[in-house]
Amino acid sequence: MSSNSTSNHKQQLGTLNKYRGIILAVTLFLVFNLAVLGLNFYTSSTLDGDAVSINLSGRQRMLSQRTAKVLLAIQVDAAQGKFDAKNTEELKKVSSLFDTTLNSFKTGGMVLGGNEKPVFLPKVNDAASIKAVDEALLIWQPYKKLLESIIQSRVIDEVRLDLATDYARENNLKLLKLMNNLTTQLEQNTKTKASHLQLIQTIALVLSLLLFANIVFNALRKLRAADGEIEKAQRETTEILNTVKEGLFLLDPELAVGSQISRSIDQILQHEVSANMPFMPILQQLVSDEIYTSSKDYIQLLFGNKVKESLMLSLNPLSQVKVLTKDDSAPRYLSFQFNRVVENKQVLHLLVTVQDVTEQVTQAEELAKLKGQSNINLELLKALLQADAFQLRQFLNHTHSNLAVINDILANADKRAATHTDMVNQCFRIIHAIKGESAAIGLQAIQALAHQFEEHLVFLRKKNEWDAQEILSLPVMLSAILEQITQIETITDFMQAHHQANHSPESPPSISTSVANNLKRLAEQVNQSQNKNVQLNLELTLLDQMDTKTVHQLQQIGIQLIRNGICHGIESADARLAKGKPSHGEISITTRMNQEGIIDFIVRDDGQGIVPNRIRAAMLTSGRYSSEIVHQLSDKEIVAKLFEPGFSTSNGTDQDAGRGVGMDLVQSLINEIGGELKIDTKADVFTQFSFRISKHAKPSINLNATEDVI
Amino acid sequence: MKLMIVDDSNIIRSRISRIIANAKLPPIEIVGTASNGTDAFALCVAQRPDIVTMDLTMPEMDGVECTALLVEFDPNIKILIISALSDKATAIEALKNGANGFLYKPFTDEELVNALLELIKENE
Repeated sequence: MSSNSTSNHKQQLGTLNKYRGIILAVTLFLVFNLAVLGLNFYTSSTLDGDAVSINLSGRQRMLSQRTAKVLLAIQVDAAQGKFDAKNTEELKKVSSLFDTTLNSFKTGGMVLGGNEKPVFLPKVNDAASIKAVDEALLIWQPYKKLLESIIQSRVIDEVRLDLATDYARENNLKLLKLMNNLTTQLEQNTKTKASHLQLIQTIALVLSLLLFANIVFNALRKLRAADGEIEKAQRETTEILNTVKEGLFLLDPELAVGSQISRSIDQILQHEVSANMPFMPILQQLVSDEIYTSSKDYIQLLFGNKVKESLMLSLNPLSQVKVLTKDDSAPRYLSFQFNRVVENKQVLHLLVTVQDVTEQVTQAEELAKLKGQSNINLELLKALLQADAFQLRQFLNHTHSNLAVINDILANADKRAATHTDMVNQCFRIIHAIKGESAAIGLQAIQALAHQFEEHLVFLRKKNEWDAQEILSLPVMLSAILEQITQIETITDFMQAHHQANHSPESPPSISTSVANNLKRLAEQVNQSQNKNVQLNLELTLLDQMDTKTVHQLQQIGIQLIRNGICHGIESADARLAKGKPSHGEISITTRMNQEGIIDFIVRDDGQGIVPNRIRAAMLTSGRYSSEIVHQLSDKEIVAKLFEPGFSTSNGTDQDAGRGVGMDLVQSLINEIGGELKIDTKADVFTQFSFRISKHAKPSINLNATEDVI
Repeated sequence: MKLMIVDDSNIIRSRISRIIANAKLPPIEIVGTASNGTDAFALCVAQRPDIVTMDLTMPEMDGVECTALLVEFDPNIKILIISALSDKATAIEALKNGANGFLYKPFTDEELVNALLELIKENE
C-alpha cells in the first residue's frame, strides 16, 4: 500500500518533470502578457491624464484671450460712462479659472474641467513645459494683481483700468504664445509617449509571439518524442505479441477479451480471437460442459479477489484440459493460466496465458508407458532368475524356430487365400504352445503377447474376408514377441556368462525336476486365475532317461492337459462337495515303464469326466454348431471333436483356455512322438489321458472304463 | 475465537482438534464438532462459531450445500474446506458458495495451522 502510494507519487513527479518545460514556458508567457497588459493599462491611464493636460492648456489660450477681451469691453463701457456688472463677473470667473489652471500646471491640483466637473491636473514635468509655465506665471502674477484690483473695486477706477489694459495689450499675446507653446509641448510629449508605447507594444507582441512559437515548438517536439516513445513501446508490444509462443490476452470483468492479443492465440485455440470478443463462448466450444461450468465459476472467483491467488492456482480446472476437436484428429491438450492484474486492491483484468501442452502430455503418457514397460522388464528378470537355465535355453531355441515357422506361414499367406483357415490353425497351434510354455516358465510378458496374438487369430478365424490391414498386424505382433524373446536371450546370455564366471560348476537340477517345477508353476498360475484349488501330483523321474526333444514335447503335452484339466475337468469346490467329493481336485502325471521297457505317460484327474451329452449341450449353447450335426454324431465322434482344430465350447476366452486349440496340439504332439493316445473317462469320477511312446498315432477311446484302468 | 469442526471421520476431527491444541495460534475455543451438514447447521445456530473447518463428502447434507447455508446464516463466518476430493469442480463450487479457504487431505499440521491463520487474519 505504502509502496503503492510512493510509486504513484513518483509517477506524478515524473509527469511533472516531463511537462516542466512547457509549464514554465506557458507561465512565462502568461506573466509576460500580464506585464504588457499592465503597462498598456498604465500608459493608457497616463495618456488619459495627458489628454486632460492638453485640453486644459488649450483652454488656457482661450482664457487668456477672453480675459483681455472682457477687460477691453469694461474699458469701452467706462469711456461711455456705463458699467456692466456681468463683465466684471465674467472677468472674475475667467481670470480665476486661468489662475487655478496655471498654478496647477506648476504644482498639480484639482481644476474645473471642460464639463464643469473638477478634474485632477498633474503638474508638468518636462523642462520645456516647466519653462513655459514659469514664464507665463511671471507675466501672469502682475496681470493678476491688476485684474484683482479692478474686480474688487466697486466703482470704476479709470487709472487702474488703464494700467490693466495697457498691461494686457503689452502681454496678452506673450501669454497666448506661452500657453500655445505649452499646448504644443504637451501634445508633443503625448505623441512621444504614445510612440514609445507603440514601440513597447510592438516589442511585447513580437516577444509574446516568439514565446508562443517557442511553446508550440517545444510542445510539438515533446509530443512527438512522447508519441515516438509510445509508438516504440507499442511496436515492441506488438513484436512481443507476434513472436510469443503462448496465447496471451487480458480479460476484463465483463469477460471480454482485451485489445492486446498475441498472434499465436488463434492457432492455439483454433478459433479467431479479436478485441472485445466475449471469452466464454470460445471456451464453451473447447471444453466439456462440466469443465466449462467450473471454469466460469473459477474465473468469477478470481475477479472476486476474495480467495488467495496461490490457492486459486491449485484449483484451476483449465491447468491441463483435453480440448474437444471437431473431427477425428489427434487429441489436443491446452493449459490456461489466469493471473490477477490488481490495482488498488481491485482486480482490473485477468492475464490469460494459453499454451498447447499436447506434446508434454503425450510425452508424460509415453513416460508412464515406459515406466510400465520397465516394470514388466523387472518381472521378466525375476522370472529369468527363478527359471532353470537349461529349460530356458531350450524354450528360447524352440520358440525362435517356431516363430520362424509362423513367419514363414505368414509370408506365404496372401498367395493362397483359400488356405487362410489352415494358416490360422497352424499359427494357432504354435502360438498356443508358446503361450503354455512361457506360462510354465513364468514369462508372463511373453504369455500376454501370445495371448494377444491368439485373440487376433480368433478374430480372423471368425471373419470370412480379411483385409490387408488385419493380416499385416500379425507380423507386427509376431515381431513384438520376437523382440521379447531376443531381449530374454540377451539377458540370459549375460546371466549365464556371469554365472559361469562367478560359480564353480555345480550339478544342475535334473530334467525331471525342472519340468516338474514348470508344471507346478503353471498349475499354480491357472489355479489362481480360475479360482480353483487343484493339487498336482507328479512322478516324472523317467524323463531323465529321454532325449531333450521328447522331454520338451512331453512337457508341452503336460502343460495343455493340466490347463484343460483345471479349466474344464475339475469342478468348482461347491460342485465337488455336492457330489460328495473332496473340495479340492487332483491331477496326477505319471511316467511308468513296463517290463518291455516301454514308457507310458499318464495324465489323470478326478474331475467331472468327459460326457458326450454335456459336450453336445455345450456345442449347442455355443451357437457354432447346428443341432442336426450335434445329434448325428456318435458319442465317440463327439469326443473326437475335442481334438479338431478350432473346436471350443467355451463362450468367453481367457488366458488359460477356451480357444479350442489345446487338445489339437496334444494330438499333434503325440503324433510327433509316435504315441497312441488313450482316453478313459467316467462321468463325475475321472478322466485319464495315456499314451505310449511308440510308433502309433490314432487315439483309442473307452467311454465306460473301470476306475482301475491304470 | 470460536471454531467448529465438521467432518464425518472421527479420526480427522480429533486430529484437527489436536493440531489446534498444540499449535501456536491465538486462543481458539472448539465449540463443537459435527459429522454431517445438518448437525453442523444446528450447531452453528446454537454456538455461532467464527471459523468452521468443513469436509465436503458427508452423509445427509454435503459440505458444499452446508457452506452455502452457513454463509447465508452468518455472512461473516469463515469456512475452511478440508477435503480429500481431488475434484477441482467441487472445490470451486464450495468457494463460490462462500468458503474462504481450501485444504487437501492429507494435510500436514503446518498446512492446517497456516490455513487457519489466514482465516483468523481475515476475520480481524
